[in-house]
Amino acid sequence: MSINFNKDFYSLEAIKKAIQGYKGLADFDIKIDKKNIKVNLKNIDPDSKDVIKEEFCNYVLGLMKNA
Amino acid sequence: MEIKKKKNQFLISLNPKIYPLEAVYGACYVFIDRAYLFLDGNPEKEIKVFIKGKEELNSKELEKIAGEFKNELLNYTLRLSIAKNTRKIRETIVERALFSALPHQEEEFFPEKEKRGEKEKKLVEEDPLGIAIPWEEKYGKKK
Repeated sequence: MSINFNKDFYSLEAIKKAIQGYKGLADFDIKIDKKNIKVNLKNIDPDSKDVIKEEFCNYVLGLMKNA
Repeated sequence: MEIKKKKNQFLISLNPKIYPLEAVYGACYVFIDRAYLFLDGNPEKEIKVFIKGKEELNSKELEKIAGEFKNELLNYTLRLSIAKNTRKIRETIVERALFSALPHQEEEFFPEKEKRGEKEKKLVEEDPLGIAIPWEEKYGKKK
């Protein structure tokens, strides 16, 4: 599973903070290209598999508001 | 503003010249507990906000959320505009409040006040109207 965060709207700092908060639920890997910050999720906790992507995006967005 | 609806989700396209990015973040934050939100697009030309219901929502409920989101956007845009317009006066008030909390430094920044104080002191010492002379001394019967 992967999520592409547009660099214009999401900061790497917020994404890293969110990963710290979610590290118990999956293994995260970050790749950065010109436009996006790509976050790959592996070994996702089976209980949160259905919602982890959206919840993670919301969490990053919440951190952006406070940034 | 353009809205495209899909099953349980919709996309709102916004003009960043009307709705600043900061206002979009603010409005999104209000809905974070009710919906899943995702931002994309170009902050100079078009901001795309993807909104997906946390629970299965029918068309009416989606419309309601879209309407509330639009209202919240306007609310945040106005708040930002007011904050921008009143920034200088707010800063002045805070500066003045901080200065008055430092009595010794106040004289440094407002030397006229100090001069005025000296003038008043001089007048008291000179007492040209004889206010400081006791009544008995001034008008009392001479023994």
